Amino acid sequence: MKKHLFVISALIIVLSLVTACAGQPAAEPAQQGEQPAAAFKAGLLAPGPVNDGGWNQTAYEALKRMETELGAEISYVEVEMSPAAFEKAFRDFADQGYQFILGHGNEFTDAAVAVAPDYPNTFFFLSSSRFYDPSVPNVIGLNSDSSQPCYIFGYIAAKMGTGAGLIGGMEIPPISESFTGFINGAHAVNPNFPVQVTYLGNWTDTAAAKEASISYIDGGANFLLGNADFAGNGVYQAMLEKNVYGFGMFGDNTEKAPQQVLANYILDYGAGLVGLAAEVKAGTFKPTGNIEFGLADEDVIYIVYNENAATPVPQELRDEVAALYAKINSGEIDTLAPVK
Amino acid sequence: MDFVSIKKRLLKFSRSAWTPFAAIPIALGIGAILLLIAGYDPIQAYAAMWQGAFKDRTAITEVLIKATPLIFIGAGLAVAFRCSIWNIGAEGQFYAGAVAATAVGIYLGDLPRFLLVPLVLFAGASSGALWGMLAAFLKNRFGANEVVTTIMLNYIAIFITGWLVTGPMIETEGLFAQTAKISQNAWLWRFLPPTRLHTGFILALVLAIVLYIIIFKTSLGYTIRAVGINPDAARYAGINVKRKVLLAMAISGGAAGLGGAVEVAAISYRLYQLISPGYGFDGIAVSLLVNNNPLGVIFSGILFGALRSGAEVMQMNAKVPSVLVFLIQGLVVLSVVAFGVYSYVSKEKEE
Repeated sequence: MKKHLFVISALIIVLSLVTACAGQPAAEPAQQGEQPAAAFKAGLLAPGPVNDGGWNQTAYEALKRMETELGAEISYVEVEMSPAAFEKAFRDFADQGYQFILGHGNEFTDAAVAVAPDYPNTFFFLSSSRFYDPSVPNVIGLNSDSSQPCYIFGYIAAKMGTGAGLIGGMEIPPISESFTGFINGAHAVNPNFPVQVTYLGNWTDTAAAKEASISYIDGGANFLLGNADFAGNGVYQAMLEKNVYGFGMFGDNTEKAPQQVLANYILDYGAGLVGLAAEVKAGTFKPTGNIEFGLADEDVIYIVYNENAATPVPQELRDEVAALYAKINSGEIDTLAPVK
Repeated sequence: MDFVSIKKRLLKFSRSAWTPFAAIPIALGIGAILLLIAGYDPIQAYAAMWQGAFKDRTAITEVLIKATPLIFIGAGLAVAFRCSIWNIGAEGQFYAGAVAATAVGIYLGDLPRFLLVPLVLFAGASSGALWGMLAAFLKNRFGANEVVTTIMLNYIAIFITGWLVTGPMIETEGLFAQTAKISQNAWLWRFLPPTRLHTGFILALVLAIVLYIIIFKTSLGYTIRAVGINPDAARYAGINVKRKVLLAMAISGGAAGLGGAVEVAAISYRLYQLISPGYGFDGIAVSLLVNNNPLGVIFSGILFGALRSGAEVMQMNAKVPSVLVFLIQGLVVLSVVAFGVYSYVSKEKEE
């Protein structure tokens, strides 16, 4: 026992000496870090790994673009997914003079609102949020309005098809709003155009998405739109198998059904973030409300036609769509109008 | 008290007290080597970690806030482990407590504060206790191994929570997978503004002390420990083993459930799908680190809170990727367990 005690105590003494010595020069880099206060700093609170190939990677790549395009000093935290951790992470960034902090998800709202009043020179942005409250003007919700591109899709479907089936993941506003846009677009062409909607109740059940799609096709629909995250892949499978038309959501999905996808709705959220960061850096960002990205933000939300589809969208229809863009951007068309 | 017993006690104390302090620097030392290999400056990384945890009053209170659920869970687990019940289900019991507390905090929100706060805490503790007793019942009635059943019950609790926050309990705006905020009357007092330090931390300290007294200073605790050391001998001595198993799981689950209730009532104010980042599993290490002594859990809980708290700043300022941060945290747990085994073996030799 004594021998063990001795060995262990010796180890502790050596190691604590090492760590104690190591502690002294550590103060230096910390001081250096505080000197260039003028640098523009952008931080990210990511709710998951930044190399996930999806949601978090989008934000991380936007951050990298801020570094190369704006010369920003960047840093991110894959924050522990507990509300207890969020506030501290926001504070740790803001304390060090970060002017642009993105909480990548609505779950960061409560924490941002709690922290923001203490840091009036920092902007706290929230992804997929419509938050705006004049009493905490430096917390800004960012949302992308999918109902606008989906309005265009509905319009095209009603012009070219016999009926449409929409397959959603869960019945939450981001999804149901995109479907409202689709239905409004379709009804603008033909108020009796049949559009059916189903919600899977999850984001993962590819088989259920495919089944729902096929039952719509059997019922006479020849256009499909899936907005169900991973489960949406089942919709593309049904398009491919039954050879009906459809649209790609949030990115280029052409390869999943090369002849059937007529157009893709591309969401380049990163471009939107970099644009905002540039404004914050220049000091020109003066928010008067939450930020809603739409077709008017041409580099953020846009539609790309698939020229290699079995029947590409004809030119005269594309001209009509171009006219719709203008009406949507001017507010003449309300893509979120309640469906009759 | 004679000299020999004092010496024995001191020895015993030193053994349980110094193990964590030995395990941590060794883990950090190995971590430093890994950081070097990966091309990061370990000194800078650890300096950032230290700063993140202790740089000012706010940072220190944040460490205590992070330690709070770990102390609740760890103190409860210490009781179960002393009874040789390997409760791996504190995570699920924490969720059960958080769900019940949220339900009470929302649906009975009109009650006055002096009624609602105790009710929220009671709901959390009792629901966690029931969740724990479920595993004890399966063990007593069917001989089902509690390691398996508690792990399974974790998933059930987490998935029920997921269903509740996306379905029946989703906030009225229905935008995101979270419940509405609980009534302000259910919030715990944050007594050191502007920091977030709350009375739940005090409650955790009290619970740890009470459980220590129960386990080591009462006949009830003695019987629980007797069952843990040798259930057959305990049964022969006239102890109702099944009842002790049920009780140990109720205490353990109740403490975890109370932790869940406190997390909701003091920090998050609402329920999310992922309300715990794995407190239930960290709690196991927190308890083992101090040889399943509820009093020691206070210190090991704070230690883990500091590690967690500092790790984020390490990512932020030293730009160390999160995988390496998790790796260092894993090393700490590993070396803690290794030391636990060491002290266990050396104790056996001694006896």
